[in-house]
Amino acid sequence: MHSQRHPTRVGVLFFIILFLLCLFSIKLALIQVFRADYLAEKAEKQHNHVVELEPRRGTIYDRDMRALALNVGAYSLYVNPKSMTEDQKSRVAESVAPVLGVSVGGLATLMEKPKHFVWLARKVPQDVYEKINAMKLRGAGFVRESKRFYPSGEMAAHVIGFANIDNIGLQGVELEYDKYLRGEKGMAQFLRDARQRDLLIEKDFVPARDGYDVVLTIDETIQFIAEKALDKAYTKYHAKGATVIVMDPKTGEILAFANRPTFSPAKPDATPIESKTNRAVAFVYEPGSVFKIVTASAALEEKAFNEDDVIFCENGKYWVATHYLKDHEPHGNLTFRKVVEYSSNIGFTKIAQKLGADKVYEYARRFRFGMKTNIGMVGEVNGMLKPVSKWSKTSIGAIPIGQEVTVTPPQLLGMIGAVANDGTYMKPYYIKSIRDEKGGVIASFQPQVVGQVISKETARRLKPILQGVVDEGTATAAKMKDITAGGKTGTAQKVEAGGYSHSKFVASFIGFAPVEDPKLAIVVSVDEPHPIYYGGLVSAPVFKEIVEDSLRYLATKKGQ
Amino acid sequence: MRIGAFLKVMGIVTLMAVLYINLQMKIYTYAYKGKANEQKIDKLSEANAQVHNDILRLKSSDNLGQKLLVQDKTYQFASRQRVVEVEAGSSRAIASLAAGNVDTKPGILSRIVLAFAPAHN
Repeated sequence: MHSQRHPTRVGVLFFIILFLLCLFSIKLALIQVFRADYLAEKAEKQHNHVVELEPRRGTIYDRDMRALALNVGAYSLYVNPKSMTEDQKSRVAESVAPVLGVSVGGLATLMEKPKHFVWLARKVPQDVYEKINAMKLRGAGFVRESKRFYPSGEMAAHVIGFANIDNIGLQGVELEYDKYLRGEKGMAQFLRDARQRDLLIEKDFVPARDGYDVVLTIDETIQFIAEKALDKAYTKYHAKGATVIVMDPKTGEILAFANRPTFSPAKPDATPIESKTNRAVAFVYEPGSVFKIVTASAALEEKAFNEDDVIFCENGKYWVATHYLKDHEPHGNLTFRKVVEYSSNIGFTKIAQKLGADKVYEYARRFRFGMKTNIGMVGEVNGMLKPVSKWSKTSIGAIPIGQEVTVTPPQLLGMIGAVANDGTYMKPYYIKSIRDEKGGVIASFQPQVVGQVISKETARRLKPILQGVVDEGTATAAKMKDITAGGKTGTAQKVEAGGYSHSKFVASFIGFAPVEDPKLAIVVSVDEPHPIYYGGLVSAPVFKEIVEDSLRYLATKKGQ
Repeated sequence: MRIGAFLKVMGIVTLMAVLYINLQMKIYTYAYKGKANEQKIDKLSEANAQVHNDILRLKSSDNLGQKLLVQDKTYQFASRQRVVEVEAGSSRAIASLAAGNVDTKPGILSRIVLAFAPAHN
């Protein structure tokens, strides 16, 4: 009725509604047909959140599965500068700077970046996280990451090495076995609500593969004993550097390995590069009298001398080619045994002259001088052993007493270990196995026999002679009440400006204990000790302390 | 009649749609609850990890050695002769313990040995 009385108004209304309907239909068509893919993709991005799953970096254990390096959770602070007002940025900078121990200006500069995500501090300590989290600062948040934790502090630092802030190994086991330790990242796709909160609804999931664990042959307790003893000598004699390595001579397993100066794996940037250098494998030096074991072994093996053969030591002064060779204490007639015990340079030169250069060189090579031990540490060097063709007229009076040859501590350890092990040279190694998180063995490393460098008989004749060095010779500072030990001292002049220094020495002692059934072979080397610099006084006491405590510890260890 | 059937069908469809939406909302509700519980578990795991790491640091040879051997020099490694091994489950040992003949509190030497005994996982 009303429509009949006002046909125009009804018609207009009809067309307006029709027009609006057409508009809505066009918009619907635009959304559902022409922009469908674009809008669906945008919705997908908003509602789906892909999270990278960080794998757990593998743990480094000692031989008894005591953790030496493991991952712990750590929070990293970030801000979203693009979504923050200037007031909010100021508040964050002023509140956070004193807690982090940085300048307000520095933080403010970081927040000037026109980005949605800027790190302010990575992997902060737990107490710092709790303080800043309690402030509830707008625009700032925390991301949970992981960082390396070293429960034993600086112990075995040169073996374990360290990883950087992104958990990438940079030195030591952390570097050499990084591909096993790091694992593989995973991925998870979660649904997010309109407020960008993750819901526990997975759309896709690829689990992370945690890193494998590395088990060392190092014994944490013997490591502590060795480092404590080494620290005493290093500090007392104001040394430039020092090294100690402890090995089981029957298997070649390294039980302790330490250098001084050292560093903290948790704070590697806090120390200079010299402290981080693994001097035991990377530096060489002239070994001095410890090298005489090569000459003595050759003499016995070649049956050139017996223990009681008499050698005239020229009363301390002996002409060799172009110069006089001297003993630190003049001797007349000495038996072969006493030549070793008193470390007579003249006595050893005469032994070497009788053997000949070729034989001395041959035995030095048998003991693997001039080549790497392949202990498995990055940076190991060969040392230097001249072939006989390059020997000068004076070399016969130098090389057999440990001059004109350069060595590394692992090479000396291999030598003394071979003597202790009845002439069998075992390859030194420090990785026992690699395991997955369930304890399944991925790889296992066994003792390796390198060769029989001297016969059992020769080794068994040499061991009591080396025991004499400790009981009555130059290493009486290593003598123990209830434990027998054998070894050799060395006090080597360092090379300086083309000649030998009279004020800089390397004091060494290499030895094994107990003599009747050696359980430990040890090399101790102290660089530039002063004022006292003799191997028998500086390094032998370190050997003694390590042997006494380590054998007691090993005896009370379960299963021993 | 046809309108009646139509209304019945529409009613059933509407009811089913409402039920479906209700179930969907329940899924999301549980998803939120699950996320909240996950965050609680994360916090507890973290606290556990902190305690575990503190224990590792405290029982490390470096820490124990520094405290027992370096800072307090009265301790030393026990020699073999001063250690007594008792077989686990030994009836005599158990009887002695029960009779109170053995001091159950570990002595200094036992503590030294125990302190340096390897961890057993």
